[in-house]
Amino acid sequence: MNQNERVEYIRERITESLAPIRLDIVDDSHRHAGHASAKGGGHYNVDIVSEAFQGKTLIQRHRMVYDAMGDAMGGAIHALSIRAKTPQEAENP
Amino acid sequence: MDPLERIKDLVEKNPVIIFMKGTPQFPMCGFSSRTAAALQDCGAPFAHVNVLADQEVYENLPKFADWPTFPQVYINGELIGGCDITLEMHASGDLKKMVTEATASR
Repeated sequence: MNQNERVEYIRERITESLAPIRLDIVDDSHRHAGHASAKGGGHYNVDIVSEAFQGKTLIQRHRMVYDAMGDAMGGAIHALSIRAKTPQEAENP
Repeated sequence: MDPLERIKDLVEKNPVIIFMKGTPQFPMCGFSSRTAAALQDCGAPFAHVNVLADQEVYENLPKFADWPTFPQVYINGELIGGCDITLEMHASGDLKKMVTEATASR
């Protein structure tokens, strides 16, 4: 996967699994260029607002996002920085 | 010792432990650095494992916790999260409360 394909992959996977009402993905890979242990995998920031997070703890929400990524975690995706909010939380921070 | 047993032993024997890239003094990754700094800010002692210096833990920790990335923070044997969650809990004050309680009860 090239860099654009990776962002599209993340967008597709999250959209399919979590039906977000807001989804922002920022490719942060350039800030980690030369980071030896990344082994060519990218760093991404994802900001997700979804009803699916209702009633879930932070760790459950992060697991839902990692699960959506499947095998790409640790491969094409080296790190995801995740913000996972419900619509109510996003409106009243 | 089986690698998964060894990890289980580490998280159960240490009330607070971080598995990170590098050490709190010499972190090798920004996420590990920020997470260790949040723990240090809580003012209680915590254990650390440098996963870059321990291939066995590096390879087995993701399946131990079903959590794909480093760093990982455990309090009382339970995975709290990685960088984002630890920082969020630090900002809300929950992290200090949990760390203080965990270290005081041992």
